[in-house]
Amino acid sequence: MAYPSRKPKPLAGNFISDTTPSGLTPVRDDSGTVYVNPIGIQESIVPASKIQMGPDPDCSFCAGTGHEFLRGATTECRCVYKKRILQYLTPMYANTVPSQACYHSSEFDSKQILLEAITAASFKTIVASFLLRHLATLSHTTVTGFHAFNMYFAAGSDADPDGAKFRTLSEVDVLILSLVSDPPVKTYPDLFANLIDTRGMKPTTRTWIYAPDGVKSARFEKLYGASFRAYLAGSDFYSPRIPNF
Amino acid sequence: MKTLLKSLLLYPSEPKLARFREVYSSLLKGRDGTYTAAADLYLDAKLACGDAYPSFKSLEIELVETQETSLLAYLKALEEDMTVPLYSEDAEYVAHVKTVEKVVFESDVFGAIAKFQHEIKASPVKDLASIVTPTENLVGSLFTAKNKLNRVNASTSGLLFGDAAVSYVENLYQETVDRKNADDFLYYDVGIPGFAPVKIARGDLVVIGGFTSHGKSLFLRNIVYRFLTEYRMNCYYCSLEMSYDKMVNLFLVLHANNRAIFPHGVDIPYVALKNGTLTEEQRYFLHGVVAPDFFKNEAYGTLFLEYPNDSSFKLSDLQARVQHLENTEMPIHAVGTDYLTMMNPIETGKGRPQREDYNEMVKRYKNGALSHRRKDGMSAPYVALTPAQISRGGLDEAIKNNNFYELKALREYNELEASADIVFTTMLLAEMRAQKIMKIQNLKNRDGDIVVDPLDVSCQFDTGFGLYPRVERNESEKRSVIESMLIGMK
Repeated sequence: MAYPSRKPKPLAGNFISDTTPSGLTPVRDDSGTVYVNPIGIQESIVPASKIQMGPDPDCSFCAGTGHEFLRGATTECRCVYKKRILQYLTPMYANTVPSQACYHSSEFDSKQILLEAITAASFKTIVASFLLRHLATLSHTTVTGFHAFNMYFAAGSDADPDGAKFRTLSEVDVLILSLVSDPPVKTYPDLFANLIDTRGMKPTTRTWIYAPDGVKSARFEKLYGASFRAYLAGSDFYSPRIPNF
Repeated sequence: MKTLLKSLLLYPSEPKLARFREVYSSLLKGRDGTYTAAADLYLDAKLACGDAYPSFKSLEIELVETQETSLLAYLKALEEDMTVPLYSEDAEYVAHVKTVEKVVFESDVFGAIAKFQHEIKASPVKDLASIVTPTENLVGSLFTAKNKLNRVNASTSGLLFGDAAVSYVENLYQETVDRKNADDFLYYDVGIPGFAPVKIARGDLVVIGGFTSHGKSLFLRNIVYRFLTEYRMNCYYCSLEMSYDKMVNLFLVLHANNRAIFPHGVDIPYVALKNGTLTEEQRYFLHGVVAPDFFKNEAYGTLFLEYPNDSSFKLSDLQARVQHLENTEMPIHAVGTDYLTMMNPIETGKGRPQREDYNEMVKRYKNGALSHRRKDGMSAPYVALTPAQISRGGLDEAIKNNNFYELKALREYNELEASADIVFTTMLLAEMRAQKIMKIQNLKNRDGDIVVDPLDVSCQFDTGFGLYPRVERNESEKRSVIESMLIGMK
């Protein structure tokens, strides 16, 4: 499949406007207007070791110095290390409680993972545990389908003149496509399939797809297209066995 | 003529030889041709020897063997004509120079004593200052004279020729092997694994460059402390910036907070020691455990600290003190000066010091390290260390260059750059100080590879100003911390 044309196409529905954040569906509740699927993009495009953080002034290990002794030398205190890891996990995953079962399981080490029919909380737990299992060394990006679409069409514009932002989707170690609820766009199948194929050619990249409704559901087909569902069915995506939390 | 001949004998060369012929032929006017032929024969023989040590003796043997008796006779006459002593062996030459030095020494000593007597007698007031100053001058002059005696023209020289040279190199290697077998260290490192290729040897000049308040003295103190505790070296440390008492305390807290030696020790903050606010536990640990260990443990070297009360303290005073210590108290293995260019480079103390004077002083500092001699007169180089100021311009250039210094940052006194065997720089910007990290860079390493990238080193600013290499957690250590997080987040 080829990447869709660079020309923006008219979208079904007026999802991009000055008042509505792109890619989100407004829902009215008691507190006013809120937006569903508030993921947008959650990313740490560098490993945790590259993130600069200061020490905790009340740390019992370093008393705020940021260093602790290790093997006759010093290393950064674990309080700094933990802060870096939490920063690395992004707010989306840092607030979850990682699972020991997922952490110790090699079930999620495949190159292409398809997570179906699990709750959002379980999904976050699995991702956080997986990233920690790899010692916070893998750069990761979680992006919604519509956000990926926007990034693709933003490439070359003033917002992303050299297309670097979109390129990170191809190059990041772990790309998690969160296909929960997105405005239906006809170009999804081409875009996603190309992205997955491009990433598949690189030996170290991993691609995850999170589809809580399941790829066989009518809703998934309606939102992301039958051709993409067919593409997934013919690909090497692995649905791991989810351990009991 | 005497100087020319001496120079010719030691370092023969064609221009010198031509000059010698010219001068000598003028002396030989009136002599017959045979005599001139003998002189020519001698000179030709010397040339034939190349770099070999020329002696009449070898020529004499040759002439006896070839039965050239007339030539032999003229040769002997030639030898007598030459009023300078000619040495058939290296040792003879050294002995001669020693004799000359001895004469100089005696005249220096007697001159100094006479000057002292004159000063004492000439001063009508007998207050402390009028006695102390001449006494100090006398002691200084005596030290200088003593140093002269222990040196041969302030350099070690020898002709590398013949069996003597062969046995010399054999002994030299044997000495190295003996030191190695005796667990004596041949090279010293600065205790930071990343700087492993940088090996400091005796006789090296180590320069630590840095902008003001960027941790130069701190790094120097850490190196000297390492020499003391790790390598059991006796060190002379001259501080021109900080008082004697402050230096004692700084070395003591460095030792107290060394967790490699006291893994379960109590932290001793320097501020608390300075302000007298140590807790009873800290005080007991410092005075009951740390101080006896630092000052009495025979596994460590001995430190001699000096803070010169005299603002005109000069390099010769420092070197005289080092030599005195060597002769009277202990062998000196390292000399740290904090910092060298604070001294007055002009020995007479008169006139405004110029940049060349400082450069000359750096050379003498290095030379002093190389030519230092043991009590018995044998060569015993020491490690010389000094910080060096880098100007704001140098710092700005480094900051622009991604916190990377270049050797030209030491351009203010370019001899520091040229004479130094090893050059480090330290950088301690405000954000690094907040993170308690110092950036140390190696710019020159005469005997090995330069460590190109600057290294981050942890510094205990809150306690003893100790520098510790920074290590990364290995995989199992990272996993251990992460697993503790998993439990903690539940």
